[in-house]
Amino acid sequence: MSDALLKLSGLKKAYRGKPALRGIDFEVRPNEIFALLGPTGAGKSSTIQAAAGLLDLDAGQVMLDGRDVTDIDPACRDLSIVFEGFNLLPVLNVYDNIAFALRSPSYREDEAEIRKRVHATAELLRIAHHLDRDVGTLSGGEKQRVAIARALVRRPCMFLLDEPLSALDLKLREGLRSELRQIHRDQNSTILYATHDYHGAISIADRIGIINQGRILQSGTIEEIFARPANVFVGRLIGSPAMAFFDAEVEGDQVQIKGCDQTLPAAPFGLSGRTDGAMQLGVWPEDIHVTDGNSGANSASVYAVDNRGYECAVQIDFGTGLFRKVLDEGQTLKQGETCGFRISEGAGFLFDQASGACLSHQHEGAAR
Amino acid sequence: MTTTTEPTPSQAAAMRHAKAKDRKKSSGRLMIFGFLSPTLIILLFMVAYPIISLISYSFYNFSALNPHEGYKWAGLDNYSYLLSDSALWKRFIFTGKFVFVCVSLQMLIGIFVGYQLQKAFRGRDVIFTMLMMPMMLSPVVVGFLWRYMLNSEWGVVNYLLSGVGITDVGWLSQTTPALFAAAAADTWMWTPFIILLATAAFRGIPDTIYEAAEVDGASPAYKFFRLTLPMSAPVLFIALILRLIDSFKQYDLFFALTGGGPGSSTETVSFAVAKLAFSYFYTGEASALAVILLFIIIGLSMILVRHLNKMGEKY
Amino acid sequence: MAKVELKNLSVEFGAFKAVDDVSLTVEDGEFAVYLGPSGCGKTTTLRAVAGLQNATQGDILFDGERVNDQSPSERNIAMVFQFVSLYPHLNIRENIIFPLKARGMPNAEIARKLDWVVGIFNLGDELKRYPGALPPGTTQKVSLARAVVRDPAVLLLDEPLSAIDEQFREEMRWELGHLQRELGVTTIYVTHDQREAMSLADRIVLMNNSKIVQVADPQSIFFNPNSEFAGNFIGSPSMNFIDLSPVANGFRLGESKAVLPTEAVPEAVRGAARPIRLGVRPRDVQLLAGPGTVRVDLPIEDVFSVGRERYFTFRLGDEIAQGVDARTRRDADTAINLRPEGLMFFDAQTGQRIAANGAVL
Repeated sequence: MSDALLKLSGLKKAYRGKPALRGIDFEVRPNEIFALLGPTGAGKSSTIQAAAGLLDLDAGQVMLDGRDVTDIDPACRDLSIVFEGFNLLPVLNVYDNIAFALRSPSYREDEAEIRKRVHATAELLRIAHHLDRDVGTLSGGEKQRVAIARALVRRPCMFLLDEPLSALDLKLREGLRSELRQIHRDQNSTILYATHDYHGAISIADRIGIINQGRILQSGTIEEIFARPANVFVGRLIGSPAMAFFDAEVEGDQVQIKGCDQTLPAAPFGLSGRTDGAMQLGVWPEDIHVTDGNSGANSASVYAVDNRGYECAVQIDFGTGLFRKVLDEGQTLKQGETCGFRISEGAGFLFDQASGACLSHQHEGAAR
Repeated sequence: MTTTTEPTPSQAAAMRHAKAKDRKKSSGRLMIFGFLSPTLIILLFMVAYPIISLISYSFYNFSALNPHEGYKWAGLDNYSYLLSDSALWKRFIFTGKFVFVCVSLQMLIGIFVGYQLQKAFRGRDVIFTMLMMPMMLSPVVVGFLWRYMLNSEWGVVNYLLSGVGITDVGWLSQTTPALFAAAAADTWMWTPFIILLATAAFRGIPDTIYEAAEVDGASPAYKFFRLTLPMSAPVLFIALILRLIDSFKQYDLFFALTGGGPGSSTETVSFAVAKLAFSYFYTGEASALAVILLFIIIGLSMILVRHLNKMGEKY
Repeated sequence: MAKVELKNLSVEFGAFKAVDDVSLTVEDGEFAVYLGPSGCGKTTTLRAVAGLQNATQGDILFDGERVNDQSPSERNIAMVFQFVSLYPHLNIRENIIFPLKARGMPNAEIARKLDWVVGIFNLGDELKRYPGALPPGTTQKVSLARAVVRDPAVLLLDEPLSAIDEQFREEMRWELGHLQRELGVTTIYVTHDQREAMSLADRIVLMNNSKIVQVADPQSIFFNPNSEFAGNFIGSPSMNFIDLSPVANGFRLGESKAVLPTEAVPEAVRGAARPIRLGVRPRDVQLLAGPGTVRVDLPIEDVFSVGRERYFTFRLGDEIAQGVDARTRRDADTAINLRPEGLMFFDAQTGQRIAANGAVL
């Protein structure tokens, strides 16, 4: 049972009455990449700043490698941050930017050692030929590599990455992401990676924490999240495409879905306590079967089609809402066409109408 | 890939902890206070103390020339005396007229010129620099400069006017022409300030707004009145407030141009304060008048600033 | 609605050619996407079509009529910009009707158009609000509404979704697709995000270094890229590129010891005297053998989950390549399987694609 490297408990912070963090609890284990996924304004940057010590917390505790560092100066915490805006020092060239931390009072390495380390790190990030260039002349991707090199060269016990790639083009982002993953593998580092990009998070992370409005809604591996989504918000954020939501009414042992003919038996959902009432039914699109015409149990129409070539995705309008689905191979539909769909038996999760919390307790979702 | 034997991250961290002591997070407050204290002290002595003294003097009847001769408490006598003086009200009206003319002229010309200077053209930078020069002169100098220019017999202004057929305007010898003459001088000196602020305000509007308007089919006039002006309104309003306050306090110009004449018809309220304080040495009375002026300006500013804040709320 | 033609369009800034001899046609009602990395010239081309940028050379035609000398409003185009260009001091309703008022449309007509647009975009609740108070994505919806309310001949969008969070970006993307099909307006959309292009476009215009690389519908460009650049830029995760060097029983893959059997390479391609590079998408690299797959002995490094799929990496000397498989079992730790239909061959020097019949694309 590995001890957490970074453990955040009950972090609370309000800016002039507006709460940014309402109780952040999660941990990052050694040698893993933990992605903090959430929309802009959810509190990702504040969490990273709190972990680094750049923020005065109203409440909560930050434990790093077993030590309580909540009140410790950022410079003594042995963390490296890579910022969204790169935050390179404009007056220094690339070499000096990377070497900056090593020359500071905390480290005071000697020049020969610095030279070795800077060159090794620059090689790793393939910017060795840029070392004497002015920071202002670099492209976005190159600047980000310098920022990463600057963080790497210190060999801290942990890295904090605050949306490091969001300022870059898609292709650059993908390339840098797999490089980062490779470097992480080779160096056995531990990374806390904050982003709003779902695809970016899942392609790099071992575990994911979903944050919204200053609270962690769920954390775990992607498989765990698929199997047991904790919240409507999680369902809307995770998945490609994300979860489909239906207004449902639980009466006795049946779940009636508003706007659809299909009813599902309530038993598989494993509801405890309040078993009747209005709820939200969330189903992973993989558990919905879409057919042409009206041969499905529920009738609907095609709102929009995304024919990407290697696959075809559709947005289905079932009257009271929309959901997206990637069609099976060979299936094609046109915008405006009527179609039918059917939800697999045993699939789906029931969520509380007001709070969005998951009410059903299946031991295992019907996901593939 | 890694060939050197490097310590694992936690080992290296342990090494470092052994070397350096963990410092507690320093509260930035001490530093902030340290940096602020010189300014605070200066403010205390040079602003707070004089104002408090001023207000306290206004309740006394005395003269700074002869402090030991009568330092009588007068209560609100000074105020009631001043406010019932019809001559004082005349000065208020005159000051009001002056403020109105000045501010209107300056805002209109300033915004217009600022707008014209938006598009780049050859020599724009030179013209801009030249336009800023009047602001750099001291008000008394400007006053005297215009006094000579406006001299009825040998002043440049009358000379030019005679070429057009208008002769012998007594600029500084009659009240109304003197008002406009002073307004002209004030405008000459301070319109560059409005131009500066207007230019800054206009530059703050992103180009994409104009591009969107261009695509939407808006004419240049439509763009100016519907986009440029409303979006730069807060900054322009600040300029207006500043000029309003400033022109309310106008003394130097009238001192240089007319000396308050003819008679005392071109005396502003500020002028009256100076006369009371340094010609007649009725220190108590002068202080009271200064306090009255202060309250008026504060009151006006508060109303205007509240309006300004409401303006910014939309964004 | 209008057909847009570009004939030998060039835009130069001093010595720098931002757009270099671009010719293409966008049909009436078509959704064309200009796709490419930053600085490839796509935005400049769009702005030239809009009239916000002067063309140095070449012609821009709307329905056959040359519009080079017409202003943006004369061309009857509408534009949605990347960074919000809603007028911040006007509320939503005033923003949407701004173009109509600016052109002096009578109030009754304006009211009709406003109702129509509000209905399509479902903005009824937002009309009194100000741009600063809107949730993300809605501002771009309003920009689009303002663009569409005038019934423009051509709708131009300059990376409209780049500044929005991923989550809302996807929703907006679907909305855009739905709306464009409903309205049927000729649309030109600029982006660097190939997923957007693949999802929205009727045809993709792929650009690089101020020139057009390939113009085709999403399917064609995906399954038949004409160059390494096209193969790499389209598709996620990116295509693997592996140098091939001829050996006795086939071709050696990169710096590894693995060999691609001769039969896997089309004869016409084999015969070419030039050095070849293999391009294969990660989805065509599998852990398990399947019908017709070609087995290659390479060590598998790392297997990790990405959503519901499994990605794995394998090593060729110093290089790492990727594969994607939905399944979790594997045949062996030292073999990967390539789908023959996914194997593409490129000229290693020029980057041009060599088709199965030997033709260079």
